[in-house]
Amino acid sequence: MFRSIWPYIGAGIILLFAIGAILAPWLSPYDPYEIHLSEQLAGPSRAHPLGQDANGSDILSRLLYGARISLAVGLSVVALTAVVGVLLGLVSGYYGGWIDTLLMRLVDILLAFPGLLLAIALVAVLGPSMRNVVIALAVLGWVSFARLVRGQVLSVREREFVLAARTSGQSDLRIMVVHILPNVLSPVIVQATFGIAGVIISESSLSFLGLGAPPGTPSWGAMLSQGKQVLLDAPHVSIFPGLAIMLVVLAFNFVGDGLRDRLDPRGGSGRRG
Amino acid sequence: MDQTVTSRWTRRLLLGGCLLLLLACGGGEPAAPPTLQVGLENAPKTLDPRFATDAAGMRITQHLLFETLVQLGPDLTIAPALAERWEVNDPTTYTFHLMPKARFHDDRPLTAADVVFTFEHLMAEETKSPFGPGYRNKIKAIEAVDDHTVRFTLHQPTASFLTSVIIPILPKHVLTAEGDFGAQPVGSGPFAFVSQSPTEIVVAAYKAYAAGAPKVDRVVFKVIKDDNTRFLKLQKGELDLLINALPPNRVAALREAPLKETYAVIESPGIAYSYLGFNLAAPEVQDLRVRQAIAHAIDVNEIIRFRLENHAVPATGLLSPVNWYHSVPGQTYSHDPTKAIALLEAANYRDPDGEGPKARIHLELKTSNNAQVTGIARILQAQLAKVGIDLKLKSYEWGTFYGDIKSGNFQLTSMRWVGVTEPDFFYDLFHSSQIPPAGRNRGRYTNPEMDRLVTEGRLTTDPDARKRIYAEVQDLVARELPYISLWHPNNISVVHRRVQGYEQHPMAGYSSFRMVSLAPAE
Repeated sequence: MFRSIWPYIGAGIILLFAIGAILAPWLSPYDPYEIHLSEQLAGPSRAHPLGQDANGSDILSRLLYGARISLAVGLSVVALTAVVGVLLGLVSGYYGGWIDTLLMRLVDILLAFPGLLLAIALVAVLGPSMRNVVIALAVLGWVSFARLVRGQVLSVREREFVLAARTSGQSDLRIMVVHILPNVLSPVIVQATFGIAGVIISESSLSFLGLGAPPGTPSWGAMLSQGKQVLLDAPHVSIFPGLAIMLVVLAFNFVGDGLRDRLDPRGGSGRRG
Repeated sequence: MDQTVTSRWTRRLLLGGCLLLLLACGGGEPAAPPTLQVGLENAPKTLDPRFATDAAGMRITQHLLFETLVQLGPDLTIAPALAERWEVNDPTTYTFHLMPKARFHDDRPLTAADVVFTFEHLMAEETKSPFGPGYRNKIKAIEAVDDHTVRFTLHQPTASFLTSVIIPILPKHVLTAEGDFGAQPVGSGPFAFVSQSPTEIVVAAYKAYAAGAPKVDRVVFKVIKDDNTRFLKLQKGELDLLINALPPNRVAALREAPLKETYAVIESPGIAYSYLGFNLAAPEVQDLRVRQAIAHAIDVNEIIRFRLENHAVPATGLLSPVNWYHSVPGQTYSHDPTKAIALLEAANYRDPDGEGPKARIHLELKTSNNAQVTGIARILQAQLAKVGIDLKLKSYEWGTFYGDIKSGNFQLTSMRWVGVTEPDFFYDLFHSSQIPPAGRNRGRYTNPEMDRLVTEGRLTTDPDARKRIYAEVQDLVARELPYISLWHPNNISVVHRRVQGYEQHPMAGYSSFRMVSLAPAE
């Protein structure tokens, strides 16, 4: 299906992390919240393959639970933004006129905001929690989907089969959903794959800044931030969550690249999350 | 072709020139003026003493750039400074006699008129100084008796008055003229202002300083926000002094070779106070037995040992053992989970599911999102979980957090007080009239007994009688637990071995910088 091996490797990594996340309660050797202060910052050992953090918690267990957070936030933000973005993009592109002008100006305004900064401001106002992180990231996320879909719709709506549907008296809703939507979905899927990678990075950044999950939650970004304090003594505390973030983001990008080559050969180069 | 040749020659010539220059520098050994390099965690917000309220800003202005009428000695008692001596004429009248030789850095004499101006200026509403309200409440009138004598008249006897006049004396002639005083402060202290940027503050020795010129030419403060970077700078020998600016886990490395060859670590008891504060307006923590249960559930020693690496001592109250007013209260709370559970049972918080995961009571701890603070909050959470208290952690960025604490939007919070020496602070903390915005009674604690004691304490001027009153106050706080005392972090100075004469003050200030000298490099 894919021409190169990288998308398969990416998919494999994602699958591994997904299994780890789903089966975290059974796979984790320890309770990720358990604290053993006397064993703090212990390096990797047979009992704790990835070592222990500043509270003596098992890093492997925390990474597995952290995968739940990263993947859940990534998937939910992208699902939310894709649905909203695709709908608005469809409407905007199909109807044109003042609806299009209004929506696209709104998109322009939102695109002018630096994304992470807006998310930081939103979380600071709403208070740090996983739900608010999802909200903050979703507020801007839909914009790219809307713009992408609108562009596609503009060309598809002039095609013969759409004109045929229209002359046969089908409703706008039916034309949009049944005839246009399937023809604009490919780039959306590619965009969504890159989007997940971007959201995972953003979630980690917010948690790193102490604006994500409440203290103690095993989020990769928060683990990285905790590790930064002891970077000189116990690099393993930050290396493993750092590696996890890198691997997952890379994996989604591999898959995204593969999908783009396959579904959207005209697509530009190197747009990554 | 020709061009390449020329450019090659130009390059060679340039290189030769540079080498010559380097040689010249090496041979000449230009004696760099002795400069003390001090690392700071945060840049002072302002060097205008009328508005400086952060630790770095207050230390630089009070100890280096300016002088205060009196100062706190190494035992935290009042010692002479700009005022050579003073008299308490009656409980509401104080007379200060100024050092006649004191001069500002622009060579104008410092006189009683400047002292009068300073306090009147700070008290004026339009100055908008954060110190204004405090002085307006205390001082009724201030007059210059002669050029070197100042008399204060107070509204009522105020035991803490001498501590409260520790504020830089401002130059009247500069402040009444045009100009941005904060950008170019003119003081009368041992060091004069040179420059300030977000990353560096430079002050230079004031050679004409009456009590003797400093022994170093300059003090350069380098602002290094990241803990690791600060430590690496130490490792490279680029800093002479760090005062309370290293995370506890870095100190051990400084006591071992090779760093111990370059640096000495001075550690002594500090006066900062970490505590767990309750909002007594929140129904869940109004029951004293719940607060006692929490106090018994916390293992302070475990935190001190593993998180603070023994660089702190357990606290029994706001005032540290260094403070003359410190007394050990009648009631203290040892780590005793069984007792904690019994207290929760007595308060009718029963275990819903025995060994199961359900908690007896759910509480919420609000903190800032500082990593050190949230790290400790997590340990508290784990310790309380062992007695069936589910502690939910909420951390916010400082502005939101502080706003919530002041407005009483919290159940429990973990904070600390820094630089408290005067026991009159108990009035601000626990008098029923001091609920924000009036004061700092953020936990909404009200008790007529406390109100009576802290009022009596501020009106009593006899030190021994005062000490007895504040012993009762410390007893009462320990009994009623509006705060659970955690620990007093030690003061830790890291001093380069070439630095001589530095003395660590319990306030971790800069007052000994005047006596510091630097040994010539080997």
